[in-house]
Amino acid sequence: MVCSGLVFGLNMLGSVLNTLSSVFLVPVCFNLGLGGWLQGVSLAQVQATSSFSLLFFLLMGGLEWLTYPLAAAAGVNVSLSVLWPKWQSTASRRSALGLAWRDTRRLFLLIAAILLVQAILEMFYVRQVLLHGEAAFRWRHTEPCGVNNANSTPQRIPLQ
Amino acid sequence: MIMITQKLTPLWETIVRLRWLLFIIGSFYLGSVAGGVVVGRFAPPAFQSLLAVMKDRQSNLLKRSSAGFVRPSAREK
Repeated sequence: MVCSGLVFGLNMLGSVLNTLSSVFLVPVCFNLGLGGWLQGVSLAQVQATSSFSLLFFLLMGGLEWLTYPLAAAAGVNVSLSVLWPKWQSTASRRSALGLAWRDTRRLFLLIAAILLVQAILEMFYVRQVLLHGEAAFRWRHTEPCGVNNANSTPQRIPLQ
Repeated sequence: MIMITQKLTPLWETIVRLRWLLFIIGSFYLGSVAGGVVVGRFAPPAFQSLLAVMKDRQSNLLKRSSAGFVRPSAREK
């Protein structure tokens, strides 16, 4: 639970930083472009020993990756509202900024909800990896992998 | 239930209003991920070996940091 909280906090901090950097418009290309490219490269290297493990990893990663464009959109929305108040269908910059701030709050509510579910799933996944090695989820037809034997029941590994 | 609906309606309204922005940024991000997947899969062997070295280094770091959670007998293997 504490670890899930930590993961949630770190990811939320990442989203806030992503939004703040996206306010300046140019870093959004660097952040999302390079970040997405690196994630794609590591995604191509993923080796799962069971379909369920791969699906779970993609679900867990997909939830986190979904929040990056949302956080970036929140930041870009703020900057566009300041540069071009008509973007928010208002004449004054002040009211446009107010509306953009309201949008950001709403988007962050969604981001927080997604990251909360993601943090719980991630801790569940990490726990499975620690119990069963890289296979994470053992599939009936796959060979045993990791520190535990397939014939033995999953055991809690005591902390040293 | 009513409270959730009350919270979701303005959120949905925001998403609909920003749909084009979300679409453009989402497409850019998805394109970057797809580009990364293509590079990771079809890159020249020299580049892939460089990636493998980086992955090994990361994996070793992970193993070292999680060594405390692994049984001593398993650690020796």
